[in-house]
Amino acid sequence: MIAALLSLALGIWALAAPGVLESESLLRVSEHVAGPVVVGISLASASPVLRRMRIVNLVPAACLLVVGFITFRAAGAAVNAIVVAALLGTLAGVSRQTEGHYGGGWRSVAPLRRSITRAERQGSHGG
Amino acid sequence: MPVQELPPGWATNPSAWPKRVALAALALAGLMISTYLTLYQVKLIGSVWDPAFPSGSPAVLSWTKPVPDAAFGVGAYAAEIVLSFIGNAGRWRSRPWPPVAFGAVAAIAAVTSVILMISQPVAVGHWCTLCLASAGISLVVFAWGIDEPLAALQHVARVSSSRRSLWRALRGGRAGSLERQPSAAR
Repeated sequence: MIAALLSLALGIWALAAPGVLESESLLRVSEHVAGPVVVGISLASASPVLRRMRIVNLVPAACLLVVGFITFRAAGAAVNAIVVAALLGTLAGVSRQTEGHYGGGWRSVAPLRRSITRAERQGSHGG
Repeated sequence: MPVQELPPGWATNPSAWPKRVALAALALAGLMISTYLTLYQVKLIGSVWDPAFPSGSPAVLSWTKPVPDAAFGVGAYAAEIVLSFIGNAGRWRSRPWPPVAFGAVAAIAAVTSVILMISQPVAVGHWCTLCLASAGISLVVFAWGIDEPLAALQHVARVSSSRRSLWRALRGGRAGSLERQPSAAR
């Protein structure tokens, strides 16, 4: 939970950073896209049943890292993006123990896919 | 809490009333915000309150002109409130469709919120405080409420894998149940 909340804070900071640090355009857009994605993923992964979604934060982290290196001449803002990306990447790897049990999680929903396929097949034969 | 109300393999009941009422209260806050923004977009009120970005909100809210996009938020929050109150404390089993529908609405609203949060600075170049608040509420409702749709889908998967009708399982009731109905069920 703490890792998810720290990621959430980093996402909010990524949203605010272009205005505070006056990032150049490419970095600005990257942070404005990565920020909301990180906020959404972090909030979702705060839920015990979606905790594995934290891995998805590696995608915006990788984008920030690449753009941070590309725009490295804009020192302060680029370094900020690289640091945020590194922290996000680290936090995405932090696994957490959950207190509750969730009946096998989303894997146990897999038989549903077969049932939907079967129902569709029966529907197409019937119609 | 009667043991029968716990989904198999779960430590808590995801359909418990206190949580559903809290989720409905959050959705009500979102409904009030999006209704206010819709009223501004359809010009029933002349100005919009924004403590942080006073010039940003009018720009963001006029971006989708003539479509009042906040009205979609009104619909989503209203649906979440209605779906929160359908069914009893064992509805993950007795009536799985409302939790599944709630999860679908909340997931769509969460994804839309992220897209709208991106579009504010990238496409419009301005921020809107109440739009951000509404997006935040959508994300919290999704994160907090997604466990109940999971429990309902697990039940539907169990029922349908025993060669019973998928649609009856979703609809609930005796025809769509594997286990004995809980004592609390109506």
